[in-house]
Amino acid sequence: MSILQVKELKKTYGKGDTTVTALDGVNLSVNKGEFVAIIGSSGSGKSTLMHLIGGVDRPNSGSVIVDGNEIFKQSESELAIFRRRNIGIIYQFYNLIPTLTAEENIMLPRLLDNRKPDNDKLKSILETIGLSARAKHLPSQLSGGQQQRVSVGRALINDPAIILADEPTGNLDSKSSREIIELLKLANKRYNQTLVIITHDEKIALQADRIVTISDGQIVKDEVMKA
Amino acid sequence: MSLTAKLALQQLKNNRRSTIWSLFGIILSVAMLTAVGGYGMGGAAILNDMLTNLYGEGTGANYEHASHVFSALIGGIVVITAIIVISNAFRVSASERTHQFGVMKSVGATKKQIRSTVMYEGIFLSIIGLPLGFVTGLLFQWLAIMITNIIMGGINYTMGFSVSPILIISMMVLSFCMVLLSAWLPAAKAAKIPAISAIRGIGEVKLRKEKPKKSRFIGKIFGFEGQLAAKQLKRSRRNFRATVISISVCIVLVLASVSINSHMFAFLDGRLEQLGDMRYSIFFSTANPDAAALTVEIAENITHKLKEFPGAEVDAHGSMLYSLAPELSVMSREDLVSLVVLEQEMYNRLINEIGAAYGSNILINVAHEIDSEGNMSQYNPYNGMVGQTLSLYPVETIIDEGGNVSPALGKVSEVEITAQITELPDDSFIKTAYAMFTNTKAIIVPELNFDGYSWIIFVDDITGFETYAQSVFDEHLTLRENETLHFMDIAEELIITTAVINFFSTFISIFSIMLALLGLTNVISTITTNIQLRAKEFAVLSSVGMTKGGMRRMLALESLLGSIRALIFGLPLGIFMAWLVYQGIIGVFGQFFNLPFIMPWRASAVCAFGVLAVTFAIMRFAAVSLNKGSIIETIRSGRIN
Repeated sequence: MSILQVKELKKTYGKGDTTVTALDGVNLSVNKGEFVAIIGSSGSGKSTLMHLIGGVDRPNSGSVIVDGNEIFKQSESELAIFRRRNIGIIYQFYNLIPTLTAEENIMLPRLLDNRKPDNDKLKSILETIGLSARAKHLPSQLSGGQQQRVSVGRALINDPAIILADEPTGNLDSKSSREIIELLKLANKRYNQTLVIITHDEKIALQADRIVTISDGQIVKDEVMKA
Repeated sequence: MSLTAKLALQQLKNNRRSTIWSLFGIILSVAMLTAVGGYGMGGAAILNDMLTNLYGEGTGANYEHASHVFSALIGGIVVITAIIVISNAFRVSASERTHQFGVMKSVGATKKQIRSTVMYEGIFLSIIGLPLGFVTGLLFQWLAIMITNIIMGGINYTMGFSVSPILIISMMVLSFCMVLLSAWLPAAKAAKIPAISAIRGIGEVKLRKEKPKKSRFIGKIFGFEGQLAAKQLKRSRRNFRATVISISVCIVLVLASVSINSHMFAFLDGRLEQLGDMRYSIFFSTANPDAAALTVEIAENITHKLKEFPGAEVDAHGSMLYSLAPELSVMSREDLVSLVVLEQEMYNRLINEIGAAYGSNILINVAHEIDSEGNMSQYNPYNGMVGQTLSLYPVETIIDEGGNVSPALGKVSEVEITAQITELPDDSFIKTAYAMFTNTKAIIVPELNFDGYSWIIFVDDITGFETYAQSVFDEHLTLRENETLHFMDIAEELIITTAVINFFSTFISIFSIMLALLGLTNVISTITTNIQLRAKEFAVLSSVGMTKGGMRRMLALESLLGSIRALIFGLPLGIFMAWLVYQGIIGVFGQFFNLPFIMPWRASAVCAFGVLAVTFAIMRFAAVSLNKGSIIETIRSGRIN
């Protein structure tokens, strides 16, 4: 079953002579529970693809369908609400709210939804990411690896249809990187989470079910690694 | 508590420095609003009382209207300045969090939720800031009133300290709306930034795209740091605009109030000198000059009787006002001509002295002029008029059935000027007439149907004379309909006038100082905002090796260049305002004598120096707090500008 469908996605930046085509008609389909790595050199358009799938940016043409919903047909508010329930985003630079504690940051998408905090779920996530003892710490009191684990927790809290990770290990040392990838793989296995990772790192890409290569805004290679 | 409220509260708790600034801005603005409002109302009430006592009911009411317009104007300035101050504070708080808002958006926060976090901040700050600000404001008001009363010392009017519940409630409501509006502006802006730009950190600080030219001159004198400063100013003109405007407002206020004070006191001094030792005046007026109860004969009889009081010297003349313009609607002060009739004996003495024939119409071609040092001199304003025949329309008083008085022009008559007086010795016997008509044209004629007759008396025993004069008039004059007789103690009037002017100038000075302080908070807040928004830039500069000395030089130059821009804008505007004030004062007091515009040189110099010193001090102060944070922490604080 395909949980993500990207059809003829186009995105350009700038106007006139300085127009840059970031995506030039991208088609992609991802099944539920799949672990996909997107690789490509810098400027190839992989981050743009990621932002469009996550609904934080809008394309010039084409569509993105997540779990049966065509996301760009929604208004901005609807999209925001859709995002908090169905998409988990992990950034290279963690992007936590500095004034909220680790557990509050994890709960953020749920709190934005005015839903009651689910303590069991929170507990199990804190255990999974190994931060039960540091739940009340502010981001500034955590190391980079720990902060990134918090942002993984935030991506997991609402059981989203899809988790998007943009160079999640780009800012981390090799030990922390390994931990984060293990964590994401665990989520992928344990909760059958769909996972799309953008990465430079070949070692990480090789752990995925499927590797999609982007160059100059187009998908040039799409290989399935494991059956 | 909702999440947005909680986020707002966390932000306030964790970001102490910017919370304190915002709170400070709110407290000060509300305080100033309260103080200015209360002080202004109290002052206006007293001025109204004074003027009513002095000139009768009408002027008080007239003045009240003017004072309402004035209060509304000042109130407007205060509210706008306050909104700029407070919204600046929120702007820092919101722009510090642009990135954070982007993150929230990407995990699914709606625009409304972003807006409401900023608005909640405003509400929480108001809960603490409004009452504190109000209390501080009352303290300011009390202080201002104390100072005013100390300065005013001698007179019978004291400003009371009062707080009306209506004032409290309206100030609270106004301030709360002000805070909400101030929070709304940056909140709406923060909510509008697309998630993607917010995450990348593109947002608040908009720079001009074109490359500023390198200024070689600045580079040579101040080095590379100087060039950086000049570029910063050229590129972020928008951020500096608020500072420039606030400084200009301060300068305008200071120069305008200096202008009010210097011109008013110059006029007061001149008037005192002009009136000399005149002590008492009696004025008769009639609406029917052709059938007045007072004739020249009766008037001369009365004058003789008044002179019999021991030690009294009496000057008397009748007058009627004419217009050179054929219609009231086009008439200006230059068109006014007074025809004056002296006592027969005086008139004869005058024509003898200047060698004119009996029946001559004699122009008083002398007026007073006072220079900026307060020295009074005479000059001849109406040269070349002898031999001219003027067509004059009498300015008559029309009284309708309802008793309302209005002026109208009567039938034209021709008057030929046949002689003139070009200088007046200090002991001139027509000095009083001259003091009365100084800055309008006056012509002494042998005969006249006057509508007004004045006796000016020089006497020591004013009380005794007053009783005596009453009995003389009771005996010789029975007033007809539409005629009045007015007894005035000039000495007392002068004391009250002096008091009114003293009070008014104290009031204006304190008022301007309070407003200028409010403007100053704005300058502080914009400069601090600017510095805080550039924390990262400074950290990067110092990480690539800019020394603290270099940073100080850069900031010093920035404040110098910024101040110069503010001065270029503010000083001419302030001087223009001073000139407008001068025009207004001339309009009221110009009838007595000419006063040249007193250029506020010293005040301008003080302003220029003050602006330089203050901006420099604020920049340095704001930069000190930056130096405390470690470079790496600032750079890694997550904001990617």
